[in-house]
Amino acid sequence: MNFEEFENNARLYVVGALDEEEKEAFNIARKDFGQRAERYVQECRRLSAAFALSLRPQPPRTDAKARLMKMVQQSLQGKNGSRKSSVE
Amino acid sequence: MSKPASTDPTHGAAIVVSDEELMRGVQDEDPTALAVLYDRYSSVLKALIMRIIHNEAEADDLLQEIFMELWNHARNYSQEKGKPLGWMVTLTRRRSIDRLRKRQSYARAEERLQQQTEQQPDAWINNTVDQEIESSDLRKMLEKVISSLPPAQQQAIDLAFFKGMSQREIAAYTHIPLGTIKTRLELGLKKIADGLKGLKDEF
Repeated sequence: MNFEEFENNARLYVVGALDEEEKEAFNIARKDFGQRAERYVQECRRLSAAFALSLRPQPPRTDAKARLMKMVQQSLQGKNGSRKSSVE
Repeated sequence: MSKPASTDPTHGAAIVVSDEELMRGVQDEDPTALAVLYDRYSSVLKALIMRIIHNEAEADDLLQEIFMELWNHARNYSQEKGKPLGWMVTLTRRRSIDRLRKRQSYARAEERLQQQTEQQPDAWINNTVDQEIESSDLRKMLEKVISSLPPAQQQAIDLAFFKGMSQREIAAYTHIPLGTIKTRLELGLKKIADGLKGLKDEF
């Protein structure tokens, strides 16, 4: 696989269009091309973000954020509690 | 996308915190950082989930699970993986497609997709041309890039990205030769990637 083919496959990879065996070949090439390949895959992730940003935004239900933050606080308390008991 | 400003408590001045800084905050277990990321992107991510699973109640639940995953596994993010939004979108898409696959047998999904395709031959365009909804400039530009593709290329990308189908699955589903599907995807994605080059610092 030359780098141009790699670029093509990287775009297919980020949108999830590669079949399993194509993905294997892609990952081997990704390793071989090293940092250059990683930089290109990173750039391609903008494609995913672009597809999401092109959709009409849909606000979550009104109580969703409060519920999330409550769960976050609970998880923090749980962690702090287990840290405290491990110190004790 | 315009980012909501946070207020600097010491001076009362509006400051804009970057996504990267917020991710670092989440990694340091700062709930406020997560709350700002939520305000910034929950509507975008919910739109993506809805586009994949088409069920509002389930979308809200999944959105919450995704933000909890983000909170619990923020350490998995590093700047080498690209910008935070790309990482969040990748995570959201994966989880939504997992949910879709879990929920439906392949046969039922195929039947639904068939109905959706019949009802909305250009679903992507239909989703984005609602004149009553104000678009941000960025979204308008992205819409323009995407909708400039021939419908056949849009459909191939739509089936890959929003329905989680590989090239081979798209060929089988559409009864179109694999080589044609590959060409459509390659040309379509190249064109969008080229179009995004002009939006270098936007996201």
